[in-house]
Amino acid sequence: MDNLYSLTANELLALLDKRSVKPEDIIESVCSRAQSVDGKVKGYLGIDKEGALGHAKALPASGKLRGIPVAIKDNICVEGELTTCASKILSGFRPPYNATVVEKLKSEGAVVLGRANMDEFAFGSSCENSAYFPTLNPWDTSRIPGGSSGGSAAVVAADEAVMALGSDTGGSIRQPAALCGVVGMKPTYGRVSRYGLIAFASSLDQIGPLTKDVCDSALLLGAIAGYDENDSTSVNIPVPDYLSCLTGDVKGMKIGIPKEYFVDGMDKEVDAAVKEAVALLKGKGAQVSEVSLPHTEYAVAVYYILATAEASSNLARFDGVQFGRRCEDPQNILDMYERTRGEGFGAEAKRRIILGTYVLSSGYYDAYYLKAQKVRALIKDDFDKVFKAGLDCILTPTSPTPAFKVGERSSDPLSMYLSDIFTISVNLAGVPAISVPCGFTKSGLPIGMQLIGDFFQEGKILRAAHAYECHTDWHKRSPKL
Amino acid sequence: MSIKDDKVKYVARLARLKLTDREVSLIAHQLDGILGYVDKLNERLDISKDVPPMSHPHAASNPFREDKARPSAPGEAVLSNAPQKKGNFFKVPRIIEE
Repeated sequence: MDNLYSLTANELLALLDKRSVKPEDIIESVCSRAQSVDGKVKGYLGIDKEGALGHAKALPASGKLRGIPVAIKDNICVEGELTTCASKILSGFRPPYNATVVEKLKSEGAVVLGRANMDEFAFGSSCENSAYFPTLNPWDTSRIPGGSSGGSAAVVAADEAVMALGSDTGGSIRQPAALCGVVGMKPTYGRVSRYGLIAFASSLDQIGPLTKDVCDSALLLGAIAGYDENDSTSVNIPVPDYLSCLTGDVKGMKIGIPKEYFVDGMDKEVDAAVKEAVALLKGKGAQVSEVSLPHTEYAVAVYYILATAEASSNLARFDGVQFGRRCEDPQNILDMYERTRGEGFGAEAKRRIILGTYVLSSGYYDAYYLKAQKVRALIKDDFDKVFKAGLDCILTPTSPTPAFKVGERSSDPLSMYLSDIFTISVNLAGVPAISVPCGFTKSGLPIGMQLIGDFFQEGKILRAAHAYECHTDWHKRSPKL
Repeated sequence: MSIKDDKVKYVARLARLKLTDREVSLIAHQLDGILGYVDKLNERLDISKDVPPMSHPHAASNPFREDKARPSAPGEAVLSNAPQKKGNFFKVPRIIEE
């Protein structure tokens, strides 16, 4: 068995059940894969093989993920391990506690394998804003993997991890999943505890799975979901058995296609691939209809006001007092704050802190922040209306283009922000969505489609995504590295 | 609305963020583009009816937990990441003038 690294978690669990492999074999296989390809992909900020092997020797007797190595985005706290948000300001930071999702993974027998690279503080759509190095797309290393969970998506696509956790504030799981040809889900706001996720925008952030297929997504979501008294925004409703939602059948499911998501200027190959996926689902018995989400065009504007406002407030804690780096030889307390932050934050973080502080500042609050909060309500109403009318899911492209070239958008923040045009509304509303591979461009780049569900209806979007996957093999392709 | 360098400097001071002159003018220029885009909310969208502002996906009241004593994190763990400490305290430059 020398290709264990290429298997899904569900496949590996079956082998572990039969005792034909040991957890240590899986860790050895995945680590040697990472050792041979991560020099090209650069998806990891660090791998702890010895630690992982140590954990594998002391696994709980049972668990949904017993023996499965998982990569963790570098903004999710792992006790005693470096957790830096790919930022210099947190260099050397070792959290004194585990995020709830990490506790849950460990109690289910998963093994934390390494820290996945990301855009600094999750600010970006390309992974180029990491303060350490950019991650590259395993399908074409002259291109970006998407972001901000670019490292998580890239290591799963390159078989350097069996599965990974990311976080999604405006598309940061789904967009890199689409661009790397893997499955990525943002659960309903409140479905997964955010305790121990270093906050970007607290009313939008949600942790979710990046996996090789939909079954693994259902498996990992089931392991991390649930109420947590340490996160008062987590919601106390039972977690269904997501794997049992995967019937392989879409017959009778009502799928809406929002006309606002098929816009001029969208990549033609993306447009064609998504429309073909719609036709396939229709052929398998789904009831497809056009719907309208009329406030879609305002989503990016609303997002960049609210998300930066929340970020500017959340990032106030990085001041050189309690953790992270502090500037050399501060003259007084103000000098310490200003220089610590000026030296520690990268360009995009500074831009967002300024924009967020500006829209919250006296004289601009009503025109920007308050207005954006109102339009956010209208965007949520759009979703409420179509789901109340009986839709099971909404199908859209995940990203308007396939992976772009490294450097192509890095000097123009607005063009970078528009990369998330199809994913942002979902965070503003709070509903769940999943991106699944739905084709490749002629030049061999993955294309993803997005299925959006109503609040806490992850089971339905997983079912539709899985049924699609049963009839296609896009998710089985692997990049040549 | 055009953003002047002075405005960026003022906001940077509010945010306790030291910027170089080059960063100030670059950010001023980039904010012009971003705010120009964001201004479509003010130009093209008329919210005539009274829409309540939305701060959070779940319109919840403040959740309370039971008022029960439980252990907090140990002092050494909390101080383990301190850039500078003295005894059981975080050490910072003098805040109150002599």
